[in-house]
Amino acid sequence: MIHSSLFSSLLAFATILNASPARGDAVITCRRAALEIAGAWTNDGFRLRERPWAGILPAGKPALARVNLIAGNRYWFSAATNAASTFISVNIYTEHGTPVTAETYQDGPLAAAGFAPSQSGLYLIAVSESHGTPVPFCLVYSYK
Amino acid sequence: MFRRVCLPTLLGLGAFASAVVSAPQPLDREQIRGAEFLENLSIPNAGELFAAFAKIGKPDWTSHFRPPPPTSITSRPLIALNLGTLIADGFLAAEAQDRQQVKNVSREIKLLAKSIGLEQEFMVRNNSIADFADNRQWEALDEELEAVQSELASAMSGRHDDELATLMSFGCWLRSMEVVSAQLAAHYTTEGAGILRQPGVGEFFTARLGALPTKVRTVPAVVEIQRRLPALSAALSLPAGTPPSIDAVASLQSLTTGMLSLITAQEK
Repeated sequence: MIHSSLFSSLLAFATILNASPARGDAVITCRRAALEIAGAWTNDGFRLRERPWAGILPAGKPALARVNLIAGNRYWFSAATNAASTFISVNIYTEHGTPVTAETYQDGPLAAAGFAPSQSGLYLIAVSESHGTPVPFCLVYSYK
Repeated sequence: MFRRVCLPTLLGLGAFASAVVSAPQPLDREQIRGAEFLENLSIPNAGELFAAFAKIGKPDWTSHFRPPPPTSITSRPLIALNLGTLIADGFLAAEAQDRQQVKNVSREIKLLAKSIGLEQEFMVRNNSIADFADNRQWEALDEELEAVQSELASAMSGRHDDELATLMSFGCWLRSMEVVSAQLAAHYTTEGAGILRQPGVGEFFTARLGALPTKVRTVPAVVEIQRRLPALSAALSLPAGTPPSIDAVASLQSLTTGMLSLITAQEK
């Protein structure tokens, strides 16, 4: 659901990212697209976490965030950019930076990664773009 | 709801099947160090925690229901902390699939939200929470509770009360940890104990509480919570593969219960 308070809250979130803040309209577009991807998991019993991670993907390097994942749950991380010609990807790493084996989905400006941790703890989520150009992005996650 | 309306327009679930791509390179130390810990993303919500526990047994979630916190509280920091604990109670009631308890908790949230001028922000959600409970849409209810927390936090920030948003977030996390540690203390398994691990969360809140404005940081309950928080952090940061012992879980329960009692105590 798009909330009336979305604009201001997303801008606030974006300012604390390792990715730079994105313009509000771009963030909203990205969030809408990310929610569309995440919606696919909803029919499979996944519950969406309301609050997104949004900003500008830095050129040539991933935006990285830590997440505490709970063993026993399954997760999907869904991301989108509004730059139609850009390919983005989502990858998941252990807290030591080792890639985990995850299901992945990529379709140009849309991407997702699914993972079921066997151990609770910190994992790193990376969102990358392919063209070496900064683009706005938004990531949401779902669990069950 | 937006995503449900848009679902049929997706590429089609068949086309959505996963595709294996080349394995990414490991991250270097600088990248790991630079990864952000974000309040909105990095801290699991109560529903996530309860969902994981529900898979390893059949917890009697109703045994963890509690009386509502006093509505006579006037300290805004304490109200924010209690709002957070009530949101966790909402997740608990949803996990227990108890319609009446969901409504009870929703009513308490409304009362506390009103006491800090945020009743309007909650009104629409209050109705939808009741609807989801009546229709037994428990997954949707979890999402609604997440939305409640998000919107109340946004409203607090919009009023330059960011410290209240932090305290609400902490209250929710603390209450969820109290519930699962109590569940685990009563029905200990190493598998369940392994679920508890949440490195970084305690340190995050330690830093955030330490950065609160002096008038908030010096509220006696907040002072005491800050004093006890390092012990909680340590208990949740054991190395992977070394779940806390039954004694450690009992200590964790005692610690979280004690911290919660500071929040719910009647003001003097």
